[in-house]
Amino acid sequence: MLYSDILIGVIIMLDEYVIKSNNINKKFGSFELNLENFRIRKGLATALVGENGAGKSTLLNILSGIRRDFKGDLTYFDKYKNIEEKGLRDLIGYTGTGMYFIPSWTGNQIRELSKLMYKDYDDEKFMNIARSLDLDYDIFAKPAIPNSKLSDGNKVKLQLACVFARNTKLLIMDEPASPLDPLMRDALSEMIRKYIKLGNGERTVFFSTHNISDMENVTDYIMIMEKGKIVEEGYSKDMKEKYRFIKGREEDYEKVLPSTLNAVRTNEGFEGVILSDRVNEISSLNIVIQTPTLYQISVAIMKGQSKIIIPDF
Amino acid sequence: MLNSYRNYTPFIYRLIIYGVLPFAIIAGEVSMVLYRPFLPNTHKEIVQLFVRFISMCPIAMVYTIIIVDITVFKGIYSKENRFEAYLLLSEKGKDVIKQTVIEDMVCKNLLMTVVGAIIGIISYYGYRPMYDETSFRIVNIVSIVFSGIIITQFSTWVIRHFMNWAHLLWMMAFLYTFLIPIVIGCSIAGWMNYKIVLFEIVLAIIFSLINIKTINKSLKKNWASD
Repeated sequence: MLYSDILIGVIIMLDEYVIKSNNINKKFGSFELNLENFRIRKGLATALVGENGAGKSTLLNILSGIRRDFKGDLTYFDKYKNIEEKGLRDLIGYTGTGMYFIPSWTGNQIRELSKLMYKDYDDEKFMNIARSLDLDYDIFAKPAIPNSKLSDGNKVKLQLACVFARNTKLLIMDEPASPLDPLMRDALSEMIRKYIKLGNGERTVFFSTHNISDMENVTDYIMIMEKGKIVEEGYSKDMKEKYRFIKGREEDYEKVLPSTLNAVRTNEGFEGVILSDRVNEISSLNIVIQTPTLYQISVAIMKGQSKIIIPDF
Repeated sequence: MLNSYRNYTPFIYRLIIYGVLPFAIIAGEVSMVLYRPFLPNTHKEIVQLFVRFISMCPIAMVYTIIIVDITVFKGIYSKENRFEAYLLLSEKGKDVIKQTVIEDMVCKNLLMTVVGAIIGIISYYGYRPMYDETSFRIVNIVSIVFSGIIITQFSTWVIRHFMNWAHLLWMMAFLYTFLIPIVIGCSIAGWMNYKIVLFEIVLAIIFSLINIKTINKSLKKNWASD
């Protein structure tokens, strides 16, 4: 814990970035991804949180080089201006949803192609990770099942084995935890933590999620995205200082509502999130004030921006 | 290059196209030669049966190749196609796809040529009357081979442009019921000569090159910025 705190402190002081961009813009019909001065801090695990359709996957696809049809400039590792530049793709690992492998590929085909495509791919490491994660072994059997027949969780495990078997400096992960069971989510957090630690400040992870609670303990920096824009960002510790989680009785609900970002009725009364600066506005009420989780902060901010309303039945 | 092709395509794909298909056709030809005393009554009927069998071989091969091709290369040239992330993420991903398509083209052309040559040799030495008693000649076999290559290359080029199954079925219906039988039918005609075969060879090369050009274009589109 001390080690990671020192590391984060050094990173904040150095203020180094693995990706810097100016005015990334991508339009899809009425949706527009528009990011000015987007930065990913080096040596940290950064979470990108947002609701469906916020533009998380589009951004991750742009950053990983899968999607090239966007406007704006990207600079990787302070020297690469274009994803096509020699050597850059070897430094980036990506796991994603949708079309990742050709559906008919078996485990052994993926291993052989990885050897062909990635110069730093370590097949022994791949098999060790696959075994450790208890990846469905039928994909390596003879005859093997194609990767399309794997469960969603096993598909993610296969992708993880592929990216962690390489010596990358930046991992971009699109919803890695969504299809995983709680045990595997825990293992994923541990893998990310270990990956960053072994990199001695040189390795970075940028992942997206709907639900930060599973990955909260590994998140150093959080970005909250809504409607194609980053609406809030900051170091996890700073965010937990900036916001407060409040709980109170039903009769105080209406009184706290104007001061809070978000407050909802619960069986016991109400709970919500408030900016620390505004806590004094409700100090006269009988309210419990706690440090919020990143999940509570992100939900509160997202609710403020979301178009979703609870339907009447 | 061979590694890309071997690893990109599933074993069953290669087994059907380069194993089961030629084996079935050559085995059919050999068994016809071996069992010709037991085949239909008149000499003329036997000769006609051999001609029909030989003309059906490229049709069967092209039909099978198209169907099997869809399982691996469906929509690879289409505008809507997005290559799989794992290929896009590697510097060498583009080369792997390109090499696979080129290798596939070369292997299919070689397959048609080799199977055609074997069929020609077996039928020439195994059933000479076919050449002596009908207008069917060696030039027809050569023409069948190159027509087969033209049709294979053209059909795969067409089929690979479609992602949607309904559109694919329409195109297959067109190719299967109209184009393939006509082109192969011309190959077994009595008027076939080496000048036309030379033209067919040129066309076979052109259609093969079109496939390479199209995959290059498709890759450029997927990798290029807007």
